[in-house]
Amino acid sequence: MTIIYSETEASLSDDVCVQEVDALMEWLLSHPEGRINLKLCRHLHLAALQSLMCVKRPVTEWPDDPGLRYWVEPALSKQEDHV
Amino acid sequence: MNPLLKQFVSESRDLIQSISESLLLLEKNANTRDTLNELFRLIHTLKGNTGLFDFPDMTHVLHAAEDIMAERRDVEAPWEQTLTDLILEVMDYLSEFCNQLEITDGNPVSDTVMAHQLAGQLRGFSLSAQPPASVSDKPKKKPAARKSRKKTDRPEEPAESSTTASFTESELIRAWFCSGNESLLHLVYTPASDCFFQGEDPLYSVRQLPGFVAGSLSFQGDGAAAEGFDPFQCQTRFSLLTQASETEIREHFRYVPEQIELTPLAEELFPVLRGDIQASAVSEETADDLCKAAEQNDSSKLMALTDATLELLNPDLKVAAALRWLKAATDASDTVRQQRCLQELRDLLQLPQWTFAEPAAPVAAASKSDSSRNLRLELARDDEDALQQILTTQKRLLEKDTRDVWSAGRIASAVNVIRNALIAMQKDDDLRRLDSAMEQALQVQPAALAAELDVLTVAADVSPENTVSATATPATVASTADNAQISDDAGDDTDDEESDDEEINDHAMADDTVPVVQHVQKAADITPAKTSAELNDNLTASVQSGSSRSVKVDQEKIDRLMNLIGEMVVAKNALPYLARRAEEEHGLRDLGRDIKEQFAVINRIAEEMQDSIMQIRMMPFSFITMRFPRLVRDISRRLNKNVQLMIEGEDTEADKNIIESLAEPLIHILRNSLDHGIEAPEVRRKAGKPAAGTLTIKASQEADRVLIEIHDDGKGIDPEVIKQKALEKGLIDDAAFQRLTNREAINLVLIPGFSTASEVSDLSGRGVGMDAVRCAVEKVNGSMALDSEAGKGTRIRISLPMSIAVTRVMIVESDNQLLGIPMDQVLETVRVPATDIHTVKSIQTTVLRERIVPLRSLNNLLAIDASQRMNEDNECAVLVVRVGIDVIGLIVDNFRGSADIIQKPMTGVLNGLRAYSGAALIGDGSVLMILNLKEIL
Amino acid sequence: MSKMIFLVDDSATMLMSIRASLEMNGFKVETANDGIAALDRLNGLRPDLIITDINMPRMGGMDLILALRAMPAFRFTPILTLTTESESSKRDEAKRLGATGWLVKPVPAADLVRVIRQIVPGA
Repeated sequence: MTIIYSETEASLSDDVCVQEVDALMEWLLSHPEGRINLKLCRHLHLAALQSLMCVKRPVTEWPDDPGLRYWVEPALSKQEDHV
Repeated sequence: MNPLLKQFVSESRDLIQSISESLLLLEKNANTRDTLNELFRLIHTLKGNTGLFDFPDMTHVLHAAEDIMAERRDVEAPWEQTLTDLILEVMDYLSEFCNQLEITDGNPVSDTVMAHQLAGQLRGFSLSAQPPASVSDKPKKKPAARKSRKKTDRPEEPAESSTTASFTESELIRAWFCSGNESLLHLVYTPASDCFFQGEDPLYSVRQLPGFVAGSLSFQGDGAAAEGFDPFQCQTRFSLLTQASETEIREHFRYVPEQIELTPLAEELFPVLRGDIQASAVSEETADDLCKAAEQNDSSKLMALTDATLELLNPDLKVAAALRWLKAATDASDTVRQQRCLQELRDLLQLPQWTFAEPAAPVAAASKSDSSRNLRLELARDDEDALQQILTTQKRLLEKDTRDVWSAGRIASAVNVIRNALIAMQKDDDLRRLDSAMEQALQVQPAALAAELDVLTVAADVSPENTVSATATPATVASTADNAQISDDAGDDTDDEESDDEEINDHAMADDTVPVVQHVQKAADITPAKTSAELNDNLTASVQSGSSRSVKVDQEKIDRLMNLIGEMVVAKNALPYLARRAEEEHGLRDLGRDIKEQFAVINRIAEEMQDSIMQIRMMPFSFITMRFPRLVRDISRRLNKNVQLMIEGEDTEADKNIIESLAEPLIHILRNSLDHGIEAPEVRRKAGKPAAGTLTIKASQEADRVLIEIHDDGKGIDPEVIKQKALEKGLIDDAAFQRLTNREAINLVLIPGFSTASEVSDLSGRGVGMDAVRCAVEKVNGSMALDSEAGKGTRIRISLPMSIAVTRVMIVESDNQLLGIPMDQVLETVRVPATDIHTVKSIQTTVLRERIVPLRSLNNLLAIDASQRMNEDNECAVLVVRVGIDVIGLIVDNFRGSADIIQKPMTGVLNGLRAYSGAALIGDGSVLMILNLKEIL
Repeated sequence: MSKMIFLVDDSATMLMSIRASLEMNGFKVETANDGIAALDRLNGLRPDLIITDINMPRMGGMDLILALRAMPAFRFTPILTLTTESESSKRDEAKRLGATGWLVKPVPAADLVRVIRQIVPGA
């Protein structure tokens, strides 16, 4: 498992694959205040990224991986502003 | 042979066999569509496998076959018998190729001419007159997206090009400069909404994009209610800038070509200036200063000026943007772009265009093309060096004694090497001269070629101007390798030459080309980087851990297992002896019982184990029958007979040895039937039979025996003819001639020395006849019988044990020796009082169950000079056995019970002892010889 | 953790060759000889990529792809088909059924690994 869920935060790590999206989506919907931690994430399947983009949750830490951060930071922080 | 090649050969043979079978099935019109599919699949697989190696001939032929089969599979068309013939011929060719592979350890000498002939013939069967249009690749995406964006004159307030709008200024600046003068591509990638269900991850794909400069994504699911959101519906689109070539990008997205749109980013689009317009943001003076600095190529001044101006400006102004682009251009020392930015700036400030003075002429581009020219020359020189070396080597080869038998080949090979080298270097003129020199050399003057080489050597020295596009091609190198081989062979001719040749080869080894040569020789390996040992390990491991349900195991390994279990059975049999000793000699009754109990357990396990191992050795009858359809087809066509072959019970199993030993006899029987049994169609019609004869082979299992029945509806065997012939050959006497029943007469053909064929054909009847078949069958403890009805046909029945691994024998004692007699020959054991033995016509006999049984003393039969012992009651131990149709009483000293043994054939000098069929170990560790009663009686 | 590739081909030679290429590059490899065997074997396995031949006895590649895409566990798994140069129509058909892409036989080890790295994150 590459996502660790707590009551307040979902921590994504390594390569988050598409099979984990169902669980992620479920957690996001049941935890409206939940935040996202991407620090240890190396890659995020587009379906997972879409889930995050859709629910617009604050990101506590951006990925250490610069390649991933390049894509997720603009995609997710933009929406943070909306909130 | 490396494991992969081994696997390849073995699988190819299987495939070839299956292909032959399918072809024959096709001729029978059986399941035509399925069969065509299957046939295509098999040929396709075989061809696919050859692609792993460098066997161009094999691939070539199979490619043609595959094309034809693909066509037949897709288009309804009558199947020609000649096509079957041709494909069978191709299979023969491939079989031979596989044999060659095995013999030469992967370096087959292939008949290229034959391969091309076969391929050509195959193509002749193509349904369309022209070669079938190869399924054309998807038409290239129409370049509609590549609208020309060249703008000659700009509108007053140009809207920003949509291609650049999604990128930030810094990304665009980066893109502009990182691309240098190369074209920059804008890529819009719109993944299909269901792409996740095709295993795609567009984000990952984008992150792997070659030449990535900048990118952004837009998410269309924005604002949708989170509850109803389907994350598995792709709603993201990517806009990307890349400096990779269009080919690279199309290659990267080759699986989804319809989802990308590529637009070259024209230089004219830059600089992209965003922001508010404010005409007087910068003074004309400052603008002029900037232009002057640029003109003087004074970067530091230009930089300082730009920075100072920017500090005073609102960054949201277009003018500020222009200055930032200028700064970037200055940073990159790109004077052309500097000027572009400056002109843009003046435009914005509504100042007249600045006329830049000459010195700032673009030099960068010129210098670049200069250096690439140099590079080319350098490359050319490298090649020339290589050519020099090749020429020198070949020349030295040619300087050898030209009178020997190899000289013609040597000249040809030298020319070959040089030709390839010249082709690679595109020296067409030299090539022509070379050819004529070779002609000359071959005819009269070997020196002509050497002279030509000298010319070439010199020419190469002084002409490095030739354009060269490639270093030595693999073709050149491969042929160099070939030639090294040839010269090696030549060297074996005489000793003194050998050392010479070695020297030359050494020289060749020092060549630049050598690493590639080795590479070519290793073509069968997958990655030369790994040592072959490692590779082998890998391959072997992969075979062993293969998840397939069946495993191919070396015969040897199973045999070893078989021997081991045999020994185990023997060793285990020692336990009852042990138990008895414990009880009788040491009086340990409890221990004896315990040993016996333990023995029962081990016995059960050993038996099960033996059974399982025996199962491994079991093979289906189809193993031999699968070649029959082809055989029958070929023979019957040669004889102009029409024969239908029916095989039943192909999945009947028997021990591998038995199945294998059956192959030859069965083929013999088939040939006999085809040759002598089944009549020509016109004869059959006259006899009121269907024109096509039927040959049936039926295998079935009955208890622990396998029954095989071969039946033909041919002319049968005429018992009178047989009897007559047997009489002529002195095989029977007059009395027998009168007495023999028809059935007995027919079985005379099984007697050694009998062959019915009145003339010897190349198919059967070489005088070995059916007795050879009988011998082969009896060797594996089988029996056979023949019955036939003149005009109706012949039926041959063969009965074989299912397994030869374990034989039950009767152990008897004679002259203090233990001997075994196969249980299936033993009818009964009796004690005959000496008084009941009568001598009739000098033969000892006795009457058993009202039947006179001849008696033979075993000692006598084995030429042992001792009389048989009798028991206290003066009774002889008589083992009644059946040998063929005779029942004989064998007088022995004593009976010792029966035992299961694993009979091993006699080897070495013992093999000549025909009185014994084999030997076995028994429980106490001693050797038991098994008598071959047929031989001694 | 090394990525698992599941190979399906009726040619033992092809399996052996590709397996060797993959294992040399640190992939874990599982194989099956046809579609039915593959479905059987895949039970419980979660490969990162499935590579399948098209023409196979019992169950070919097309049917296998269909079957896999209908299973929740494999609906997103990348699937590559093994095709020959001349089978471009097959490739498209396989794609319509849910394949991710294709490989052209024979597959040089370097190409194979390059394509896999392009498809499997973290490979």
